[in-house]
Amino acid sequence: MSKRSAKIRTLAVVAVGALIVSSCSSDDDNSSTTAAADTNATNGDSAAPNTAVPETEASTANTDVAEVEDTAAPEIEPGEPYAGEVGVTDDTIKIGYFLPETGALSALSTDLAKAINAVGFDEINAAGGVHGRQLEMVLYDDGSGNPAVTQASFKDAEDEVFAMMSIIGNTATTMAALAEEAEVPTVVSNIDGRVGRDSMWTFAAVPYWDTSSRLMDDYILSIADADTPVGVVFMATPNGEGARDAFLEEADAAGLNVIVEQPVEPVPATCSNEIARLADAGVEIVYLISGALPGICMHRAAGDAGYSPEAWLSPANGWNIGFVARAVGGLAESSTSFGHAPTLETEAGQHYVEQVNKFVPDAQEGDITVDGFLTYSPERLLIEGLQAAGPQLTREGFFDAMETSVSGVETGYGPPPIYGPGERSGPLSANLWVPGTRLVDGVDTPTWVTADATWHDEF
Amino acid sequence: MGSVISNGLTNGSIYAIVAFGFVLIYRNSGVMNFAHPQIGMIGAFLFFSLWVEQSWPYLLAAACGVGLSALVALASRQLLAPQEGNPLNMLLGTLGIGGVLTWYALDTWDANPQFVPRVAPGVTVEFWDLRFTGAALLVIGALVVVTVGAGLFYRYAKTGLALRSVANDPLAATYMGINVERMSSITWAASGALAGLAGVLVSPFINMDPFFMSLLFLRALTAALLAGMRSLPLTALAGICIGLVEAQLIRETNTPGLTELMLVIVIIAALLLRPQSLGRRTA
Repeated sequence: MSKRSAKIRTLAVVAVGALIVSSCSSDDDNSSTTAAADTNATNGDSAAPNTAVPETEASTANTDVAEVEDTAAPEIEPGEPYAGEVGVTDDTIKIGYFLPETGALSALSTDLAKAINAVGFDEINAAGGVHGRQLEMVLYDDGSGNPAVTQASFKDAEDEVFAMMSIIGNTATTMAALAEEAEVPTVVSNIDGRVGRDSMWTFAAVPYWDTSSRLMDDYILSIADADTPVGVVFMATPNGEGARDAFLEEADAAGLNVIVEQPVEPVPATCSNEIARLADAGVEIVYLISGALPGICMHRAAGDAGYSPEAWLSPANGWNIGFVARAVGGLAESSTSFGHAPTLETEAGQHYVEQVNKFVPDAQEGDITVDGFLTYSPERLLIEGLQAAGPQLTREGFFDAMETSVSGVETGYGPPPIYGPGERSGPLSANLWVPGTRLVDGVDTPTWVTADATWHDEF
Repeated sequence: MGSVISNGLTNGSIYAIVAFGFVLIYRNSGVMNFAHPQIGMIGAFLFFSLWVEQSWPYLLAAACGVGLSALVALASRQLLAPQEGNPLNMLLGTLGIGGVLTWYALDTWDANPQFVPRVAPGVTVEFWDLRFTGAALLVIGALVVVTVGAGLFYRYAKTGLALRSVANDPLAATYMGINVERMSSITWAASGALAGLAGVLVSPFINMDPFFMSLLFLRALTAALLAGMRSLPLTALAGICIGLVEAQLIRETNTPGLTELMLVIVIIAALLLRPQSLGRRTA
């Protein structure tokens, strides 16, 4: 072996060694923290400590908060053996829970996040379960909305669990068709309205983006004149384009001055150029219809360009905005989101904080955020349906219960959904909130500012 | 117009630095290195781990990231050396290496996007109608330094002259006593270092995951092809032109994917109109 070859091999060994070292150091940090939290820690920020629950005027929105402890029904009557259903025994009900364990949104699937996601189940289980049965959360990976991963997981889940849940919009869209075919009840958070309305076995707990978009023109008119320049920025997906169309239709009828309409992709060049376009056009109100990653990209680019419109608005994806806020170290003063949940200051919010503190003692102050309603709110709907379906639980019985007993129910944890035979309108109203970790005078201010705490179908 | 120029210069500089790596390897060895983005990604992630997670000084962390990319590129070259006479096998080999590096990054850092803080967050330079942040100035400055430095190196340094000789005619260079294998190793290492530098510089602009450098692949490849896979100054110019055109396109249209469509058309046109530019050597 020549000396040169030996040197090169030595270099190669060093390279491999460096990779192994970096691998080890990185593994240590992947155990429980999210990417956003990591970044904020580096910046010296205190990431969105949303547990600060100030004393506030009593919310009028949560007068019907369901007390889980009071609703546990009696166990199955002796002498009436349970006929059986997939995922159900005399003692347990298995619920398939689709989470982004891999992929770009896996920060939402840390062990801590999973524990917080399970709080709704923990709460009902501690109260005796549903008709004496304990709810068992079975986790499935959705690959952060990857259709192939979701389909594979669904095939496993349909023969293992009674019903399913998901929190990612793309996942829900994939699951809806599969649930329809397999006739598996599925409760989801965000989903494309054009899919959700036609999918009878899927029950949306969050207003569709196009529903929120139809509320947005009224809200804009409540904060600005009709001639204020508005820009709509949307994800080039069916869901995003549907929401854009709904907004433009209402904006046109309301006489809003929409001067820019553009798609967004989470690519740095695209975001900086799109921000430049908004700024150059003089857009003062930006309606950003997007998920978390484009939101991060756009807010970062806006910061770089020194672009600060009078208002950043987003549809009912406040959890995304919270994620964005933590990732970019705080949002601009003008950021506002339509929400699908009350804020933590409300009676329902305080109940949620209590439950997280009770069942996830490891949760720190900054871990308990309004993002948690993304899972808690649908869980409350699911539990309402299970209660109403009775002890002789079947998928069809649960389906009927969701249509007849859950439709229009005000749980206090989300806007009341509208379901019925042939109808899946979902929630028709939204909350309005300003996300935590805001920039006030250039300084991160970790407080929640609640603009409102009631459900609106108009502003 | 100022924002188009500012964004075009910044983004175009990133494309150009990535494209340099393609050009260096291609003109020296006739190989299209499809592992180039992943090699840069690995260095960028080491930089992220050291700077963001371990709080190392920025320059030291950046140097380690760039160095790791250089070492990985060098190791790749050694691994593929037995196939050096067969460009197709080399190309397939680089695809394989890229896949392994992506797998490694997914296994180590997972697909969870990481967010690198801005460099020099308080620095903003504005003149005429232009506006540049500290991170943007760093990218543009790096392009200028690399382009000028490489030009001087190839013109005056003994190793640079040897590299040019090998690029022009490896057989003749061998007869002249130049160690072609050594020159090839140097080229791969330099290319890897440039990939790492691009990764480090672009990381604050993007949601960083194991695929983030691949987003730049098409734009960088187009810049390299427009420059005939040979000239670094022309590559820099092509990269900036792409950045400027892209900025103007996004400003004027609402059609998603239009930039990518334009780039594919340019690539096809370059291959059809200037096929000779890719016929690097005849050894």
